[in-house]
Amino acid sequence: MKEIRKKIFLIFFLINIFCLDKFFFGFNQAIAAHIKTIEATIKITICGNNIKEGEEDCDNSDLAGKTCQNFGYTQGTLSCLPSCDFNFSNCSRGDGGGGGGGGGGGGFIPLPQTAVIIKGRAYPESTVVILKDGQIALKTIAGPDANFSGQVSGLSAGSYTFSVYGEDSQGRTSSPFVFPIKVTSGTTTTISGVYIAPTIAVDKSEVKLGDNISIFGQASPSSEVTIAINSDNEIFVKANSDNNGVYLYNFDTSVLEKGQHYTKSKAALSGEITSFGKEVGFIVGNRNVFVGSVQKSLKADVNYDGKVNLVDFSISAYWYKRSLSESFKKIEIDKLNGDGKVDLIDFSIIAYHWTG
Amino acid sequence: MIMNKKIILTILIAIFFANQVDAVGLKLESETTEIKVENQFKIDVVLNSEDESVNAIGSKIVFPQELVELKEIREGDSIINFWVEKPIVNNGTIGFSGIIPGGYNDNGLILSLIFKAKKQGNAMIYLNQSEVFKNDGLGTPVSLNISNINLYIRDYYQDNQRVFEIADKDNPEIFVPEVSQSEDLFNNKYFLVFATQDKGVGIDYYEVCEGNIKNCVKAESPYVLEDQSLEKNIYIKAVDKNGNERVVILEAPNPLPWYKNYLFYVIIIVSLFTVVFIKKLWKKLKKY
Repeated sequence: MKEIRKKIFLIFFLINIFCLDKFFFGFNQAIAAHIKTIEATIKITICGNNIKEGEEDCDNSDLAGKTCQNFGYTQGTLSCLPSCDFNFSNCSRGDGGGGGGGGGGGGFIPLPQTAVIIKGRAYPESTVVILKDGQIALKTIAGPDANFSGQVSGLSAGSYTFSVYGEDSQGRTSSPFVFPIKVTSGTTTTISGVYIAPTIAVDKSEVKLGDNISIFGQASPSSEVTIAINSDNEIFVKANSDNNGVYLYNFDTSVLEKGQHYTKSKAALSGEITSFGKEVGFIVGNRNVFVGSVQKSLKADVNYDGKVNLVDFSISAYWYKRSLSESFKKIEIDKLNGDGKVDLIDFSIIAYHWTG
Repeated sequence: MIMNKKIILTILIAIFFANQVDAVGLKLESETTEIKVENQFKIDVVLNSEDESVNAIGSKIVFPQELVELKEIREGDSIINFWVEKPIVNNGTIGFSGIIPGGYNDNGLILSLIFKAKKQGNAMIYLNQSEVFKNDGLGTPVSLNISNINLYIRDYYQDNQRVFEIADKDNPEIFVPEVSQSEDLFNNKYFLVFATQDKGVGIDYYEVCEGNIKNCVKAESPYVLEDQSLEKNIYIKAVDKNGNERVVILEAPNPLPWYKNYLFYVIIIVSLFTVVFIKKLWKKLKKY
């Protein structure tokens, strides 16, 4: 009897601790779970606009001319789910005869979500970052074929600016692919064909006139990369990326004049083409100065954390229209436009280099 | 007086040549150019980037206070992602500036203003000290094509009262706050940065709650944290002008070890009391 009582006490004790724990800590976890509902998808069709587009099975009343019979059923009414997938719940295979069926229960139809799906091409197994109104909404990894897809849900009806950039295997980032979009409540908008521009780097910050400079980076695999080098007349050369998307071109600088030059690249594959990506600079002079590893020092990164985001914006906003401290004066020269004050021009520089 | 004439002349020239130049457009738009006294009207401030990617915009909107009364500023569905200067009215002028990270190349709404016509007259509402910068990493200014508005307010005019209410039941957007530290700010104290948008009526205010969601204060970003040990969870509440709320939690960067958490001791004490109570109850039940 004593053993049983001990066990009951123990059970009560454990239940008690469990309940208290849930009471005190569960609330926070519930909110946290609610907050962690951000997901991301990208593409350009609208689920919910009554028009079947792209990869949708259907869209509300637009069943693409399909009926239950097209799917092996013999009777019933085909309908469309809010997710733009076919709903076969009212289709059946009548085997002839048979008694009447019972009444059916009410089915749960999920509410249509407001979301954006983004699909495109970056670099093989690279990180792709999707920003929603300047804040990171999703990071995803591209496949070996460089294709990626992501969905950002939990949106409201309204205007959004999405920005997508890739990060190659060496940590270099591409220029962003930016697009504004008007989102309608209860629809899923799919944006496809987002083709991320190649990353680019050079092996020398200064090259002796007549020596070669290596221009390299990462693009989609097996693509044709066009490299532009600015000079009195802009020079265009072509290279092909390998199966890993890596491209390299050894450029003979004997055709360039001495001074500062810039280079940038774009990629083309299967009839699709990127815009030109970021520019990198080099000097043609009297000596060779090799670049070390990847340069992490970003312009506009006023707190030197390798990112340009809301923190840099906030620090700069603090100094907006104020006289700068001695230490921030140095940062302003190094990271912003160096005119000794923080104004809208500096914020334009921050916005350009923004990584989220 | 001469100064006023010069300003009016400049504005008239700007209006006349508004559509003659191929440049980035910054426009004031209204559904109507005539309005009855006591009626409300809406003016949209719109950017037309004309195939030029731009990323920073600043301007001042000047209105005649004796003729019109500003009722509301709406920046809910703005293309501006981060405000350097949130639009605020000051003595007949609404100044604002903000950025669009990555740039913007389209036609888009910057903000809307709801006015009420006060008395008869010609109300000239115009943009002043406007600047827009290219998304080129250098902060290059673009040439602007400014369009202003001249409204005729009439005592007697066949005009229906307009309603500009927005039925917004959506919470503000999800956002990711961040704790940071800088030698150049707040004596190297930890501070919190946060920003979000509300696509309907716009953000009204933020609250920061350190340790407990009931311990909140109204706050603006950047916010210097009281708990510099960073041992407490931080709750950031964004509230829109209709009262819809979004709360996000930033888990304590340096959470308290279990033996420093008072809740642990509360649980143990309450549990012990419960055990004693059950034991006594059991004994009483056994007697019967």
